[in-house]
Amino acid sequence: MLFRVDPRSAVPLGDQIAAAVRGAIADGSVRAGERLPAGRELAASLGVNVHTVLRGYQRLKEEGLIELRRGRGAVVTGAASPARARLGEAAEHLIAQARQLGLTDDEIVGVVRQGLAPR
Amino acid sequence: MNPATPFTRPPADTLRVAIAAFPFLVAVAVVVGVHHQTADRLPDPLATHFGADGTADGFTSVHGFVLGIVLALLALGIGGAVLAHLKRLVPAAPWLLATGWSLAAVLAVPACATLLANAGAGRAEAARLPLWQLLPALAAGLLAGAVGLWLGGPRRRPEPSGAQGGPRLPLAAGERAGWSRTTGSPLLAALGLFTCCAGVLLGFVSGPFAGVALGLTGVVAGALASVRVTVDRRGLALAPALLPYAFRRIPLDRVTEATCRNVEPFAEFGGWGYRVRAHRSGLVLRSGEGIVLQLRSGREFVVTVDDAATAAALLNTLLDRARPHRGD
Repeated sequence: MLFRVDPRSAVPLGDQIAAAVRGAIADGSVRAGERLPAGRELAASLGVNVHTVLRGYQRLKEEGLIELRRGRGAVVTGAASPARARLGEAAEHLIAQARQLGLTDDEIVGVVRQGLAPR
Repeated sequence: MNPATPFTRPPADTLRVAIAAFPFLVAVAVVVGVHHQTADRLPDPLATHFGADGTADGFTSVHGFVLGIVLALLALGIGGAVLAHLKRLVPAAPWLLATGWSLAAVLAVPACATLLANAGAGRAEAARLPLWQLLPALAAGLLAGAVGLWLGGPRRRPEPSGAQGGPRLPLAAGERAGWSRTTGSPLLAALGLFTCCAGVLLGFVSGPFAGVALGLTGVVAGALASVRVTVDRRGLALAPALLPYAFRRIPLDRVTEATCRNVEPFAEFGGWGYRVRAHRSGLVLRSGEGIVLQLRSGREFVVTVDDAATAAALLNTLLDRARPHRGD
């Protein structure tokens, strides 16, 4: 899969890496069970810090898209479907839009919670 | 004047079969002819195996020896003809024919030398065949192989991809990009696992040395069964998927252009695996889509991998970036 990061963008590099993987899962070019390059390798490839890559991988793990195992690296989980990845992308859009409006993190969570409140 | 000899095109089906069988028939005729000429002077049994100093140390009956050689040549001739007839081996025909021609010479020449050495000595124990006598056999093998290769017609050149100047991937000025994907052969993985298990079993049955040797073979096969292909600002790298150490790197400054095309392992490389050929080398674990790097040395480096178009496009873009700095 193609990883691309732009150091001049306002989006943190780790999030850009996560977005690249998310996008690849969303468009079907990366499927469940596929192994992502090791953090150290990808960091050397892109000329970024290992911790930056691992921060991106950690995000994907929290979204349930990948599994991180010692020695086995990062593997795309069986639960990671294109639709699931698109949901993550939608959340990114929501956050970006809310931040543009000047909302704080708590206010953004509040917006989502309001939408979830039983009617 | 005829501008083109008939053999500059790949020979037709029946002709190819005839070319494949021909050297073996000639070899049979020569061996039988030499036997006929020397029959009344041959000792029985013959000296048929010679030590490093050229003295005889193995003996076989005349009929057993001649019959064995003739049957072996006929069997190989039939095998060669059958292989030459197979449609899917047509692309490999020049090498197939070269191997057959070379094999026929390498078998027939020492057999004739053995018969002549026996006939000259009169007594089997006195027969001498010094080691340097193998040189004519090797020379004949190379010569016959070259003839077979020439008769097989020109090797098929892969058609260059139609894309003008190769594909590109749009990247912003400061943007960094890397492409990474694993390629593999499930068959090789299964083979590696099977060999490892056989190694463990053999280790228990017949001692640790054989077991470890077989086990290691299995590990190597398994390691090559899944390979990570990386394309980035440094060039192209191949590493076992489970180990982060590249076993092959092609730095960007050795590449002139990258393209993507369908790769036929058998026709272009004579098989699967890490292959080295006269004008190209590479890792071909399956047929189908692959990245093709044109190297400055004029050679090609090929890797079969999915999504090769993206990898080739990225490489070309990175090459464009590097070009102003390297001055071409």
